[in-house]
Amino acid sequence: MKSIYIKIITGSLLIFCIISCTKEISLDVTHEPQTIIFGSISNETVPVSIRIQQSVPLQDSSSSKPVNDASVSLYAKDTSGNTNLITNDFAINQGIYTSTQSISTIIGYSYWIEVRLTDGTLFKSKEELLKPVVLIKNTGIKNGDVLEIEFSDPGDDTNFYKFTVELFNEGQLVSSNTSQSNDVVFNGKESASVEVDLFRLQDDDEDITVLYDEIKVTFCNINFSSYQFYLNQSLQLEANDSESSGDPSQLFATPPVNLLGNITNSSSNTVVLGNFTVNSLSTVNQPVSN
Amino acid sequence: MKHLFLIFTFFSASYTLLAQSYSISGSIKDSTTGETLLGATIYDKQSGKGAVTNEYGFFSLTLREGEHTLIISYLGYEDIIQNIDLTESKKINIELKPVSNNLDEVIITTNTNNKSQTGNIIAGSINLKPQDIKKLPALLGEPDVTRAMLTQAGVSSVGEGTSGFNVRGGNIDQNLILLDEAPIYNSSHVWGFFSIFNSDAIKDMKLYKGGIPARYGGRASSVLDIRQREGSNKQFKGEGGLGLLFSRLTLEGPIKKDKLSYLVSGRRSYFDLAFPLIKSLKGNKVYFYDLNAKLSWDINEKNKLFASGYFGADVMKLKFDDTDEDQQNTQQNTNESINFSWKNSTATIRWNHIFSERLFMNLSGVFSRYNYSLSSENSSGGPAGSASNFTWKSAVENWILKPDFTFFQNTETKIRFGVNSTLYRFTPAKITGNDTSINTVNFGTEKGLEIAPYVSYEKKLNKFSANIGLRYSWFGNLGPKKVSFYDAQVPQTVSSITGSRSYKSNEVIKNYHGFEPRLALKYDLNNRKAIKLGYNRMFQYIHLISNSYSTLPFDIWKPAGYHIKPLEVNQISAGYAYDTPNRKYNFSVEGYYKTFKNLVEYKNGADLFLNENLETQLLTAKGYSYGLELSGYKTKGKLTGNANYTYSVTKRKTTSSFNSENINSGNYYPSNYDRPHIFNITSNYALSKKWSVGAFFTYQTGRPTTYATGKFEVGGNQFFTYSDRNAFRLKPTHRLDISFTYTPKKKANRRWSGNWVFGVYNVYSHKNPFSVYSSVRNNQLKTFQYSVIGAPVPFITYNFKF
Repeated sequence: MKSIYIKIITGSLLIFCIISCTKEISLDVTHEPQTIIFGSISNETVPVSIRIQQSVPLQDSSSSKPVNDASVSLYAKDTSGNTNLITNDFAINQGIYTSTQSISTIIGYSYWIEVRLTDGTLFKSKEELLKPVVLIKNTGIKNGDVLEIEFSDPGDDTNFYKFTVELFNEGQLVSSNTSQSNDVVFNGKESASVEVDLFRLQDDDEDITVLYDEIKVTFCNINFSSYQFYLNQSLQLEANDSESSGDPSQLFATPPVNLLGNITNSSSNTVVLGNFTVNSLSTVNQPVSN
Repeated sequence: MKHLFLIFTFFSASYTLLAQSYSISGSIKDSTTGETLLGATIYDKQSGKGAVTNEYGFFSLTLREGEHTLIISYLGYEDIIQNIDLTESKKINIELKPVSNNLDEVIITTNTNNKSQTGNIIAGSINLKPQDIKKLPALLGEPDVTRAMLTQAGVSSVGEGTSGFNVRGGNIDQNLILLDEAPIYNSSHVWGFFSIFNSDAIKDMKLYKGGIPARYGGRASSVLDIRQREGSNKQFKGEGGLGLLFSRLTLEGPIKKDKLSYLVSGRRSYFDLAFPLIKSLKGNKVYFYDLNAKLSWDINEKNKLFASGYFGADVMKLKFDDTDEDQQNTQQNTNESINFSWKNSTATIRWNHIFSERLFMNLSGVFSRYNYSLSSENSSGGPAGSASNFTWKSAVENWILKPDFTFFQNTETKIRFGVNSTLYRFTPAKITGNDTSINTVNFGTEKGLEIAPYVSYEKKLNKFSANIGLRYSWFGNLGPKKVSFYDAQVPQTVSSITGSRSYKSNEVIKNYHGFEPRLALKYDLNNRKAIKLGYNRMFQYIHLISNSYSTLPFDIWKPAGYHIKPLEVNQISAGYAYDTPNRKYNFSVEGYYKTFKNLVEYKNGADLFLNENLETQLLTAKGYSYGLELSGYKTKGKLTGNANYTYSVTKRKTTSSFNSENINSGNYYPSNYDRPHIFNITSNYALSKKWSVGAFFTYQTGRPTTYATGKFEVGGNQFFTYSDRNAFRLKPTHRLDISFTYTPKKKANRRWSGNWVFGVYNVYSHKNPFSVYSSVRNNQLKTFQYSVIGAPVPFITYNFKF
């Protein structure tokens, strides 16, 4: 979903596209491999997965380099402040660490991971609270390409939401799109709603038809640090999808930022790429007749 | 206050008796319009003493009793030589006649020269007249104040089409831009492509880069003082211009001859007239307009009253119709529409009062407002995270009262003092919606009060001149406001809030204050060579919070308060000015070193959108800037122009005690507009009485940028790793603009005269990089370079006067 500001800028400066110009160039920059950790835990009792990889040069044919020799531990803190190791038993496959058992969680507890590489580098995610679940009350499709999610926003807390729509066709995932919102303009509203584009299309993909027979909507109540991370992830995705020529919104673009989340390299006290999200999620699956 | 006036009047009278000297005071005006001339000189041939009219056109010259020969001159006007027998103090109003366009030689012969830096005590000041701006080749033919500033040494910008300008390493919010003493918060139309100042309504512009006089304050890096014309009090006149995309018209004249005059000047763009012809733009409107108005009342010899105002707006009415024509029967039309506008409004009332030949007062009451409004129907991507109908309003307001006194103790000594009082009102966001899913959001109005008394003492002792000033500023951040408190052991986020306090209306939440010393020294090696030294400390109590390359109309102004400290800038500068013996050429070299304390930087990935706890997204930074500016002018003859070169370095570093949130690990990095080498040439050549040609060339080091350095994959999407902020540089930029002016011979007995200006902007079609970005297309990584103007842009304008 393009920001309303981007729409205004591009709409009002279309006339300047006549004199602006975009050309493809090559960049010669030095690449230093960085460790990236992605994972999440939720209120659903399922195995927890964490993906650990290293970045690769821009010109590399592969898109990532899995890290298969790290050790991962999942911790929880109860409401009294007692810390427990939940598990450090993970099966490893292509850099994806999946707990061998399903993990059950408790609302109000905090969760985090620790990842240690073979060279001794220790990464630790921020302790994030498993917040109360905000249930989806209703969903609906507007104008053929926008999904509206209705819910009741709790008024006693500042909430941050991440919401994902996944389209399936004969059981296969064909499209996925995620957006996020804070509750500034609907805090405490009984009939709050947010929207997400049904399809994540690139600017010149408008003629592509996506066939789907099932929609899965996931609505997560998340912590602020993870919200900020997903906001930046969406901005980077939007920038990657933007039209490759004559886009005047470049004039007012935000300088690109690394996807730094809530994980810290304890050795260097620096925030690293990736995020471990504690999600309180509510889901809706609905079949669609095309 | 009355007693103070009496003391000065008495002091003035006593001094006169003791020294047996008398004062000549008054104003110097244009004989054809009655317009006061700022910076005109009055010079006594016998004693060698002289005075210059101030920004209100007033002068005071103290001479010994007896006969004197006065020479009165101003650039572009014929000199007047006037003999005077001084037996008592006198008031004289002098009128100078403009140099006629019909003179056989298109050569200016006056001795005055507003480009010479030898006479001015202050290092780092630039004076520009509207005619200087109109000589420059301009984008789409529209004379532009901001672009004219960018041709000067020490002034730079992030790039083509960006709003505002940067002076000696300062952010654009560090420029105090005054239009008839009213501060302007957004000086751009069309996002930054054009300035809001109509050159036909302007009389004079002065940019202070260093040694800033004590009467100015509130911004840390520079002052651009723009004065509007008063309008002819002699006869009705008009002037204007017709361009392909803009037109302007100015009307002026006497309401009561020699007493009361008016000036009204308007401008409107009409590039949206072509929109109906372009399918994707059908139904859209994008235009700007502005209106300048001024009333000047010469009440009597001692009193003048001025009322002036500016109103300008950018208006965008955009429609986004998602309906696919082929599927009109099956797909619903979304009818998304967005109305967006931003406006500057100012009103100034000034009273000039002459208490005596030596004591002059200007009292100004000023109102300035910048606001924007965004309303939407069925638009997604707005504040609600859903398609909705809403209206969003935001504003910054200033209410200012400024009494300013100048006491001319004698020809060599001038004392200036006064008080600047400013009430700031910030309304960051008021959102209302007719959709039941949206709350009314009101972040309230944040207030600030700034009170700044000042005094400056200007003294000339033979070859030595000094302007010593002291300003004391006090700023209070006032309630009502709810202030959040944070856990000091962890970085400030909404999750680390430990409590809050609500402050009552007008309760002082936090106050800051300090002395701002100013110093300008000049030593004349002879009457054509001078060395200068300057120092200034400036406090800035408001910050513009922006995280984009170019500032946007909806960026947020934030006052210093409980969590955000005021910016403090200290600058030391030194210079050497030299005029050639024939004074055809004026050269200057200036160096400066500047430190910045309490800069506000945004965190990596900051979310500034509708954030009531904005401080959680900001970091405090410190910085420095240094540079050397070489400038040369040729102001006489058929060929005139300016060449300048600036070497500068501008760096900053964030100073959070939590290193994990510092930018670039807390190391120094270049600012977005750090462009070490800038070389500009501006020239005009009078080919004949009818034809002249103007050219502008610029070369600039590319601005710092952040590049993608690697990639990784999550959930089937590719993402990039990026370098440190501003670790790389774009390629250098350069551009040549050229214009031709054809002025047909004015017909006898006809008031109408006109000229045609046509030319090309970016003559050799250079594609100057504005940004470089990478994206993934069909799993292919590609990197692009974006140029705002990548083609030659021709223009034609017809200017007229009657």
